[in-house]
Formats: sequence, structure tokens, C-alpha cells
Amino acid sequence: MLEAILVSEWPWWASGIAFGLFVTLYSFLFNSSFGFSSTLEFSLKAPDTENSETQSMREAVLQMAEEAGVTPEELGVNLDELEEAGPIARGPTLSPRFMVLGVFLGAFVAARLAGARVAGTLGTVHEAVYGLDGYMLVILLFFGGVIGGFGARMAGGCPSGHGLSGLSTLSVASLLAITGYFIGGSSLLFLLEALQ
Amino acid sequence: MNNKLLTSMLGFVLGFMYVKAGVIEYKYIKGMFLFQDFHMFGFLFTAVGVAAVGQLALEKAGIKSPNGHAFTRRRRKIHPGLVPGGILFGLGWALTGACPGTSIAQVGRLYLPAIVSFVGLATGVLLYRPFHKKYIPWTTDSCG
Repeated sequence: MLEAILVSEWPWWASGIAFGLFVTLYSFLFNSSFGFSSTLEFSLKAPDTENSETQSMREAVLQMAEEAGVTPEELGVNLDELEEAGPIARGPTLSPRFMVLGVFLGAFVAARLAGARVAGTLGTVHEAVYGLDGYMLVILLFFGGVIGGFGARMAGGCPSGHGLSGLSTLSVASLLAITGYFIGGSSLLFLLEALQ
Repeated sequence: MNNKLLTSMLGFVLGFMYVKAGVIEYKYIKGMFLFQDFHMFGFLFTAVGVAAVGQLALEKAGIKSPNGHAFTRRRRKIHPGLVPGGILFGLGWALTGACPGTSIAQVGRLYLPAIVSFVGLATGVLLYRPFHKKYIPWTTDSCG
């Protein structure tokens, strides 16, 4: 039983249940929709605007001061020092960089437990399928990544976001995004199949 | 609990599950796009079903999220970028077999070429923000 959980690949229905529970937990903890494209973006560059759950210390103090009818200085607060402190939030917030780190570690451990070897890489599949290796593979993966990242942000989500979270809340928007994914991906792969 | 610890733990579970679910394996992505393999569809439908029931249950139960607010299901807004962005993403996904989250899992699984996919995804994601600011009038309503 432990072996089934830790070592073997899971059957799709088991993974489905696990992810469904994960999405539910995530949305509960953060009261926010699970999605990785924004997490990736924010792990690289912080968002420009704070979301409604956070309030900069500076704003909080200014608001308090205004309500009390005093200046921040009279409250004994040094605003410049506060600027450094950053936003405050109620409840847990996601730390994007740690999410990225966690995913990496989790995947690493899962692969180790399953006895995965470094050989049998993604590249091998691309090689076998498309006869690509070396520079061509690098160019293909990079280009694919760029349009993938760009498209995901344009659509406002990647399959984790729109596919899992969006559909689970019955978002028509997510159906549209997923339709887009298939138009793009299926067209390309059918075309490549036809050209083989 | 510290946010970083919580996030790391969630990330760990997610990364672990990405690998176990097989969603990082190119053969399944390809099989999905060519409608030859049921794995990804079965996974998606099950996950969506469970998540839908789970979130509905939380909402109906009037549970309060840790941030003090009542839990509400977040519907995604419709905007013009959905389909074109989706198409672009789909092309990329079909090429790399990766989406932002799974590319990291692929690297963790030591699919070394996935590092290139990840760098590409990161580049694309970072390129979008200034592009959006300059040329796009709508909001994508994505807050992760």
C-alpha cells in the first residue's frame, strides 16, 4: 500500500482525487484561485499592485493617523522605516519563490522514490518522436516555453489555473481558455503527425 | 504558521503529485492533444469534480477562510485574451510538454532539457507584463 503511494505511478482517478483535494485546500487557505502561471510570474518579479488582502504598513499607519486626527509622527512612527517593512496581510499568503522551490523538491523526491534514472529524459521522447536533439531541441523547448509563458499570462492562467481551478468553479472563462489550449496544441501535433 | 513554510509544504506536495500523476510525461500530453490517450482527461475530470464538490461544500457550510472572510468560489472573468492566449499556450505546451508548474517538476525529476523549457516559460511570462501594459486594454483577472 505504501509502495502504491510512494513508488508507483498513480492511476488517473487517484491523481484526480488528490489534485481535487489540493485545489480545495489551496482555495480555502488563501481564499484565492489556484494557478501556477501567476505564481511563476510573481516568483520572478513581484506584482505591481497589492491585492485586496494586503495593505502596506505605510497605508495602514496613514489611515490610522487620519482616523485619529493626528500625524504619523505623533503616533511615534517613522514612515521611512516602515517602507522597508513591506505589505502586511491577514491570513496566510503564498510565497511564490517558496512554491517554486517546494515543487522542485517534491518532484525530486517523488522521482527518487520511484527509482527514476536521469536517462529517459524528455529529450529522448522528443528525439524519438521528432528526430530532434542537441541545439534543435534547445531552440524548440525555449521557443515553446516563451510562447507558453506569454500565452498563459495572456489567457490569465495555465492548465492548473484554468483547467483545475477555473473549471471546478464552473468558470466559462476557463472553458474558453482550455478550448484555446486544444486549438493550439492539437492543431500543431496533428499537423506534425501528418508530416511524419 | 509561517507563510514560507506553508507554501513550501504545499509546493512539495504539489511537486510530488505532479510526478505521481504523470502529468509531466510528454507521452501523456501528446496522447491528450491527439485524443489517443485517456489519462489526462480522466485525471482532469476527476480533479475538477472533486474540487468542485469540495469548494461548493466549503461555501455552503459557510466556512471562514483563515483570512477571516467567508470562503467564496472564485469564478474567472471572461476577457478577450482567453482564446488567443490559450492557443499560444497550447502551442507551447504541445512543444515542451510543460506548463509553468510542471516545468519545475520536470526539472525536479531531472529531465534536464526541461530547464530550457522553464527558462523559456519564465521569459515568456516576464515578457507579457510590459506587453500587456502597453497594448492590452483588458484585465486578465489572474491573481494565482
